[in-house]
Amino acid sequence: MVTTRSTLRTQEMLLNMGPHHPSTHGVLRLILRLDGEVVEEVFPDIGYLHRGIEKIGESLTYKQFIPYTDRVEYLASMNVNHLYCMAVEKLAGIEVPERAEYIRVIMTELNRIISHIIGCGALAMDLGAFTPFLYGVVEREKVNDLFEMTCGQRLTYNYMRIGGVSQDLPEGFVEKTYAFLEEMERRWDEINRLITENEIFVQRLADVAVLTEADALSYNITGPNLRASGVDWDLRRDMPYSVYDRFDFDVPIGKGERGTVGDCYDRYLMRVRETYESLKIVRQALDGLPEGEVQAKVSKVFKPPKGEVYMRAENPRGEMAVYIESDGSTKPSRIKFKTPSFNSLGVFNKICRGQMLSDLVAVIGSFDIVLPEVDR
Amino acid sequence: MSNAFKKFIRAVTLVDLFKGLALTGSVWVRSIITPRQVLVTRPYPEVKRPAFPNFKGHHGFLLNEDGSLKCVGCGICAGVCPAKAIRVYTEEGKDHEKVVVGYEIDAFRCIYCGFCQEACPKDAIVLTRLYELADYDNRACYRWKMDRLVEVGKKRPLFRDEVNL
Ligand code: SF4
Ligand code: SF4
Repeated sequence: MVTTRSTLRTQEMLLNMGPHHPSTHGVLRLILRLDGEVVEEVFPDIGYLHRGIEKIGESLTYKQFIPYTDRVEYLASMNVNHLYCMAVEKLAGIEVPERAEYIRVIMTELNRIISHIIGCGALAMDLGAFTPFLYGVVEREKVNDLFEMTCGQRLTYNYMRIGGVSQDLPEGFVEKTYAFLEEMERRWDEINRLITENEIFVQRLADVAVLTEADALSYNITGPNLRASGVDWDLRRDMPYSVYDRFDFDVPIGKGERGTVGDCYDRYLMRVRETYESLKIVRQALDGLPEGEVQAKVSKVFKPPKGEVYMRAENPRGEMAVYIESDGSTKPSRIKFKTPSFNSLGVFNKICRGQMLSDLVAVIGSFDIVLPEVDR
Repeated sequence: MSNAFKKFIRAVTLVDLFKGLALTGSVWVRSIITPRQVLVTRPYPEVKRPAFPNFKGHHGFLLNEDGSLKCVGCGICAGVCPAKAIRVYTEEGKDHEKVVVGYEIDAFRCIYCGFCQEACPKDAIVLTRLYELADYDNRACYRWKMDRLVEVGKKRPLFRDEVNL
């Protein structure tokens, strides 16, 4: 392949991939400069899903903004809810009851699991394996049912509140979650048997679009994508927030098992392994779930003191952060989200050069980007 | 070398393909033997999935036992609504009291967050378990008028009886 590339040059071609390409996970347009089938340059054109959420936040009260945080990243709404509420609590110095913290961890980890199911399933689907996605969605439905039981919504949960969660866990939630965990472990093994060890699947991903450790750090890649490049960093373990310091879990690191460290296969593998870790965390949190209140006392007209706050949290796609500036009134004067997929998209041009066009689909899938989060 | 050879053998003999097919095949067989455990999709309009008790669906407007509106027209729900979807129309009555003459919800603006339900001091507005919100007339959805909301509110216990969770 390499020899043909250097000797056989074709006319340069500009190609638009998306915004309606089925494998661009949302509305992403990639402008590609191609030499035959080889990608010379990738230029992601973003902004199709810009809804001005940060600006909307300035005209809403702190509590009213919570449903909007769901929509920043719709595949991991609980995580964004959690992040935003933690930030406001830090700003106002509110102590969250222990039970609420545990419930929050359970919810965010369950959300991480279903987000990774979609991430792995969609990657496999983009590469032509439809079955794992459908098997995964069956499990995802169960978590959606758990969420619907608790907060009445299946996608944009709006469950967390400043100082706690909106309502206590319903009857039967704990038992159902235990049952789900058991089932999920079995099913996830099954799905792994189906694709993770599959030679065809491995060959599509191994050695494709290698992201080196130095590049990952300089482009500020976070989360599973960073760990796939061999950097041992997880916010939940290294800078624990909420009650994460009480749980015992491993952080999988990319080792280049089937190719080079930081290739698409490693990024995929991180998601697979992290799902097991999340299952572990949920189990521990359920075991140690304390009794008590789920909502701290917060005045109805909530006015945090003047000041600013920056809060980070480990989301399924990487580190998400929120910056809130308060002028002492009921409404924030500035909200800013730092989202991980935006950075992932930024590194595309660097690592996709010289890849085949058909591998680009694998790269997009392996980074597991979510477009609403990029555009906000 | 041996590794590459192994890879080659695996690729040529399609071992992984058959492994995968064995799994999907076993699921298929199970779906014939025990369809209730394996088949998870429902033939929707015929079989409707019941929503969970605190599902946030179509709004309902509740009445007192004597048939009068529970709502007192305080407008708190309109104030807390993050999507600004609620409009409350009030008039001054005979004894200078507030009379609710109209109540509208813009179904397209509403994000079904449930804040109105949480905030209402009289528990007058609730989000019911009705999730079939489609309508033949889009203009009707810009404004869910009071009569529609009251009707849904009256039927609310029905949604509970119909489903057996
Ligand atoms: S559910 Fe939320 S968005 Fe809809 S009317 Fe009530 S407060 Fe407004
Ligand atoms: S529905 Fe409730 S909150 Fe809204 S105006 Fe009526 S009484 Fe007030």
